[in-house]
Amino acid sequence: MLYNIRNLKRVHGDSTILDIDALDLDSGRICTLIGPNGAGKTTLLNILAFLDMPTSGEICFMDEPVRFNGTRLHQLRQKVTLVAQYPILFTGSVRRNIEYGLKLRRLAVPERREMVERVLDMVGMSRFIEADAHKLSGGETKRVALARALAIEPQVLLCDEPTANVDTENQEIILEILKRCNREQNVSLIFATHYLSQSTRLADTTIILQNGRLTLNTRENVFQATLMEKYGERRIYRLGSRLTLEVEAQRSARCGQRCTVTIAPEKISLHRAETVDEKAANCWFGTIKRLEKLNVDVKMTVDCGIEVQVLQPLSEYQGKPLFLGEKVALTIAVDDVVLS
Amino acid sequence: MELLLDSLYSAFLLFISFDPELFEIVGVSLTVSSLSTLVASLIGLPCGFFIAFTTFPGKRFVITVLNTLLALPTVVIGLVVYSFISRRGIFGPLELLYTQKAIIIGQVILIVPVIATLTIAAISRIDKRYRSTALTLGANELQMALVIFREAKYGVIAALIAAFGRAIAEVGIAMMLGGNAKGFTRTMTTAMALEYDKGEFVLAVALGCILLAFAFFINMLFHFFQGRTDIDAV
Repeated sequence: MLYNIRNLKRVHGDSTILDIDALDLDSGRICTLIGPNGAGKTTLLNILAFLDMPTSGEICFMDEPVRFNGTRLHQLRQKVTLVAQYPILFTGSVRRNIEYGLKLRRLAVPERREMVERVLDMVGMSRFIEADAHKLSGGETKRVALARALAIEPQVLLCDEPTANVDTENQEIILEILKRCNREQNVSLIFATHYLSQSTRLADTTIILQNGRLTLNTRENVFQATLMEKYGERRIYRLGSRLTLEVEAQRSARCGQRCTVTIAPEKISLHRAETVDEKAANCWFGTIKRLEKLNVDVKMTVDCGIEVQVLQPLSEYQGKPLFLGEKVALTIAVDDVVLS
Repeated sequence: MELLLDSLYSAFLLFISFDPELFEIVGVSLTVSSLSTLVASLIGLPCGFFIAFTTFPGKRFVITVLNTLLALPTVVIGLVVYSFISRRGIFGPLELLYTQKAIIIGQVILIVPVIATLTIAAISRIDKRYRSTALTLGANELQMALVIFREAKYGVIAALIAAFGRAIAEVGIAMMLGGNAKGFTRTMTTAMALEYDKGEFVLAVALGCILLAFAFFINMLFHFFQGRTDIDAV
């Protein structure tokens, strides 16, 4: 696991900028942060880049608890880099800017030169290598800042609105670079964006922030449900006309009361219909209506009377491929359902 | 007017004849002021950087004190330092009085606030994003501080130039602590005061012209670096 965040809070004066109960992010994936202005996206990115300290809460990075006052912070920062929404370049040439992180890592001169040329080529800025960094346009500055970040080969690349204030042509270039570095160098990518289209196109995971709180992991699999029955710590909800869902009691409710049920697509298990007992709890049957290959996952839309989105790792899917129109069974663990 | 023109002409002759006394005085002035600026920069630059870069209780008060010290009269500094290094002072046994070292001590006290306040101003103007950019690229705290310093270099150089100009043009400290000993602690300003007292205007005017030339050169440099800073800020 790349990041495990628990009970994270960032408070400025009287206002709570960020308040996240739990957030887990996997490595090697593309994750987008979506939310309106002031939702806390930049604050979260700064905390993930270890540039800002949470007021309270815990963060584990690669299973190591992060101590924001500790001596290890510098080593952790060397694995993660953030490209700001309005990046700033150091005074001097583009080459000097890109070499900066490499010099800090004591790379030999020939290797530095090679890397500078490689990343500038990647972002299509090779001819600006000796240009004065402060004389570049906004889009060019963003691309050089991205090249500067890529040059240090981070394990995690955080980008704050990488395509904001950039013309359409440059937006495509930047998105393509991000996609390539995730695919070819297995860089975990977390970027904040206003555009849902970018998120659905690129991301394996989407995080939605609203007023500093995580609203849902995705906007998918959000259903209206009615409480039908209670027994012990379990509750039975009805979704649509025929589906039932057994969940752990999360709050007091009376029978007949309606609530919102959220099921993260990656938490749903998918099986061939004939391999599952029809009477098993939280088992829904349906047919695959849509198949979509994402970056490292396959996204499936299963029609169970209601449309359910399922995310399966590509490697797992390739082991047991499923096809359009095929009858499948979905199983959902009782503790993977969120009621709100 | 005639007196001034005669003096200017005589000063010009003195200058082009490479008068040894004139160049000795200029040499002492340059040596003392350069060393003062060097020592003061070793104190003022880190102080200014620390104050600009960190947050601590009483920061505003410290800045106010430094700004107040900018207006400290040189005779006050001369008196205070004199009380410490005179024979009866606690540093009396070091026999610093009427030496170049004494002038340097006084001038350091005079120009440390100049360097510190102008450094604070230069560092404060630097965009905060440089800090986070350096850190996220893997810099430690010291490396990040060097980045900020580098970005503020024109402002910092301007601070040093202003401090040098203040040191070379002051007269109170050099007179009270140096004693105006010929060939030893006689600086341009103390020599000018002495020649004026003697009614010998030629050397005084020659030194005045050189001092003005220095002041002009220093101001040119100051404005050059200030200008660079403004352009960078844009």
